[in-house]
Amino acid sequence: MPESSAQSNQGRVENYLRTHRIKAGLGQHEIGRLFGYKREGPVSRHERAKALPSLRIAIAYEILFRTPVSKLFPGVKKDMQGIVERRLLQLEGELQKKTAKGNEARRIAQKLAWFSERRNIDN
Amino acid sequence: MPTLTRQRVLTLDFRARMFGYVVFEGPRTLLDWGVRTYVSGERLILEARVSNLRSMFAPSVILVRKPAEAYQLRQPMIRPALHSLTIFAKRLLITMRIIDHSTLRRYFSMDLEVKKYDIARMVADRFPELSWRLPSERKIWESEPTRQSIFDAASLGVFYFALEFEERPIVTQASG
Repeated sequence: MPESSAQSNQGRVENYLRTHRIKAGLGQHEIGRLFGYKREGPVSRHERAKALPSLRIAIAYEILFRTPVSKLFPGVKKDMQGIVERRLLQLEGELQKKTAKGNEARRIAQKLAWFSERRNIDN
Repeated sequence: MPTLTRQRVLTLDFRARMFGYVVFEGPRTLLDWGVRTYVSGERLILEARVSNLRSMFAPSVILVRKPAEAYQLRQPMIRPALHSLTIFAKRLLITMRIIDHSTLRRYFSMDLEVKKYDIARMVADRFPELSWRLPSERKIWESEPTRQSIFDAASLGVFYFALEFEERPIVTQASG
């Protein structure tokens, strides 16, 4: 039966739209109709992660399935988390290197304090 | 590395020209289920169907329920299809296990003479989202409904996780 090596090659699920939809017993065409699409094509593309829904449609999915967008689209969340955290670190590094006086110095100090506060919330 | 409670497993009930499938995320969550058709002898179509499920759910293990010997004799195309699926899984570095139908039957039946329908009922009790697809008990003169294949695939997942967590699901005989 399974061994740890078998578990290590598990990839990620881009979204849980199909899971929620079939649990409800709804068809793609029905969800398409609820969201104002003429056909089921866009819903199918969202489920297969061939296209990302617009913000309005993402929120519509949240309302429909009563599940936060970040839980419906864990793949997108993970991607964006990686990108934003990396860029934040970069920005923080740049600010720490900067030299400034007066108002500008106070503004940088404010930003650095916010960075540290944000890190504390994460921990 | 995913823990066993979040391990994603794709279970397939393999038949000639179609297969029932269920995707598990741990022992209590189902991500997807259904029936897919393929053309006997068309290896690429079968691979495309399984590949589609793999790209959507990225399972770490594929479990295949091997049909009875008599069924394999009646449907000679099933052996090459199973073989090509094994090669396909190997190519993608996915662990694939083939479990004999009699192993499953023995596991669920214990001392009782349980039918496929009894096992399907146990699966539907465990996963209420499947209950509306539970077929009625088959009469001897009726052919098996296609959706029975979903329950056969699901029972494979129940068996797999039960062995992992060392719990035995209780299957009771249908009354009447």
